Amino acid sequence: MVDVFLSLVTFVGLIGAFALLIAFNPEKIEKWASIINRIFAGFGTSFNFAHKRYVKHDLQSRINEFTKRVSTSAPYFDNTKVSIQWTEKNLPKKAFLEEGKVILRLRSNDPEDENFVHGAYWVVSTQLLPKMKRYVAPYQRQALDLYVTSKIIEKEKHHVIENFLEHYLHPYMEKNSKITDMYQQFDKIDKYGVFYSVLLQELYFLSMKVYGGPKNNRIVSEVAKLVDFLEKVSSRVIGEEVELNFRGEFSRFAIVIIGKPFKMSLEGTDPYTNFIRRDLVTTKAETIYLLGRYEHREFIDEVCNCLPSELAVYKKHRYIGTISRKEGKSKIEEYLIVLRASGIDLFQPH
Amino acid sequence: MPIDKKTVNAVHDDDLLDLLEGLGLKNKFLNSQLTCAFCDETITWQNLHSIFPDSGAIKVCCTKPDCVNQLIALKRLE
Repeated sequence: MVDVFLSLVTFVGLIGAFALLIAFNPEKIEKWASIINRIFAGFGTSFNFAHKRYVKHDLQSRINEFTKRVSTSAPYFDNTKVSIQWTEKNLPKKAFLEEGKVILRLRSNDPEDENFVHGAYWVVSTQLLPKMKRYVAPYQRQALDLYVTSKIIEKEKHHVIENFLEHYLHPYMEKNSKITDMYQQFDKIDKYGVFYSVLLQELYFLSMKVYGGPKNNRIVSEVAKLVDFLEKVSSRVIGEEVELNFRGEFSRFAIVIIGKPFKMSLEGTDPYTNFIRRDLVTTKAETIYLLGRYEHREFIDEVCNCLPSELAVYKKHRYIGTISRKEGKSKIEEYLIVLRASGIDLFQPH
Repeated sequence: MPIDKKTVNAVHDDDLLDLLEGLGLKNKFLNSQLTCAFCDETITWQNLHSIFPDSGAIKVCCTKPDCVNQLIALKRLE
């Protein structure tokens, strides 16, 4: 990060470098602003305003950073930005009732960081994938909310994870074993790199398909099948043949793993492009996730270039994934390309 | 791609009493007469989670996960 900043300073000067940093990393800048405000808040009651700013920027920057991180492999997530808006303190009763919105209370004295625990869970539960959550079973929604919030807290404020476990996770899990099972499935899927983002992405697509229609059990059942499918794919041992094509009623996607060196060197890109044309495009797969080792990225790009024009590249992503071999697990650099078929109706929120 | 801006309304403790006063709940709160809409527990500075409108009335929710969850479900159905 420092290197990038120094290079920027060389080319565009200090002000330009700051402007570019703000433009491309508003969450990071906001995080710094929250830290500065927290320092000021420690100077006494005359600086109460700084605590208010700290709480707002701390919560929204950390959540927006999470959605940005997920969006590196789940492109449609990039458009979700959360903003904490302070309610005017003299809000008349009539206006409050007419607006119909919940007002979340955030503390001034908060040694346990409860603002972050309650705030993160509230934001995730009410703002992330809200359309999808209208259609799934309560246990699926709760498992997802708990998992996403625990990941945000683990990454952003690890010291409050105990508070979150005690306050939310354990009580929910003790009450409903289905939440525990699904939470554990998410955890398994997440351990292997990119499949958790694939899950969130597909849930998003699914929600856009069903939104506006009636609730029904077919959606609940498809979400359960989707999670089962990704759990199997993500924990497969290298060389093991598992189904990589998900053909649901609402969600249709395929994972194409490019990795057998002898196949790549002897047969080139043809087996992959033929398979995608013959087995995926004709069967109306809507999203294709091409993935392989990062060292094979040029080959994977070439596969992509040979594909029909109705498949648009949405994202190229380099990441560290975990692979399973018979002798154990290891981490490797991997490469993902997300392709989306054109002409798929996708409602976009405005 | 358009940005989907999600707004979360919040009140900081510094402004809480003013807000409650405007909503006609300040005295009830200070006299420990305000209770959670879901579990009936008395609302204090320790356990106030949120304030919400419901069927023309102003209600409050405590920090118990069950109550928070009921509030989330209630608002989702609207």
